Amino acid sequence: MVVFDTSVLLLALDPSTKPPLDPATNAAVFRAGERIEHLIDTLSADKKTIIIPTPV
Amino acid sequence: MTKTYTLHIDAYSPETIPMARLAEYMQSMATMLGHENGVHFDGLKEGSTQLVGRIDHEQVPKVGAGLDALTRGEGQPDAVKAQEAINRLLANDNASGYLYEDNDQGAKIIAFPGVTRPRPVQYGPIRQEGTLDGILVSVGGADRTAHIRLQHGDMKYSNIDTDRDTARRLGKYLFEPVRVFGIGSWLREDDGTSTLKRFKVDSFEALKADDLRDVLEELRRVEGSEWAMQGDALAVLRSLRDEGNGPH
Repeated sequence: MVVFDTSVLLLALDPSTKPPLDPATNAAVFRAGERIEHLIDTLSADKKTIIIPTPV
Repeated sequence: MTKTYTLHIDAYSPETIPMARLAEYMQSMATMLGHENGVHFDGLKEGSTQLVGRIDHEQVPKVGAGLDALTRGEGQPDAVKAQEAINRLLANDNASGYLYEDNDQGAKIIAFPGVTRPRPVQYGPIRQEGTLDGILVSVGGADRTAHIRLQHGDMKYSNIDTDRDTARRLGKYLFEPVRVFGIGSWLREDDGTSTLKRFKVDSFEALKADDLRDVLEELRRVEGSEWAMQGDALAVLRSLRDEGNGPH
């Protein structure tokens, strides 16, 4: 099982969403849209269950 | 030079301890010390019951290291189980105990709280509306209440009841993913986990086994979302939360 928090969920629904800041660099997460697409493909291939806690 | 470790059992005496009970303590103590070929029974001493184990010279460092690891909470699984077993034996004997080195009873290497250890705390049952997801693996029951079972990965949910009409409709989805709605009774264990005691199903829905990619593509095509128009959607979301007087 994988839990999507709000920032990941927004990017999953719209990869052009402004990415969150990386706490390590204080800059926007690098290539966030491409990374989220890769994550979705990987989770999809592995047939993982996605948990979305509510309220987000 | 050999070394001894003594298990002080605050119960019985060498004359009164049942042989079978003594054997259980000996077995657990031997497992806890490990290195069985180098650990020997060295007798019983007076003063409640004191079970003495003698360690061969060559094995002294290894046994000592194993006990050190145990006190740090990093012991070998067998040793940890044996330590717990000694605690259980002592608790059942309404006693506590400790392990000490050589003849120094003041140097308690390991304390066994036994009967004084905190008892597990369990809360509940707590009744709460909710849902359970899983593959429907069983529907049955000869009485008016039907019983179903769900499997979700390694987790199996039993103690799920419903009425016959719902069970009949559910039966069409045997070995398929479903979500059941109803009221559950949960026990909260002392380690923070929840155990399902009973779940009464009011309704259900069949879950689709759609591919995540396909689902997201479908959601992305839904019109009317304004998130894409926000310059900083996360900031907007945060401000919405703050308007609600802080975190949810």
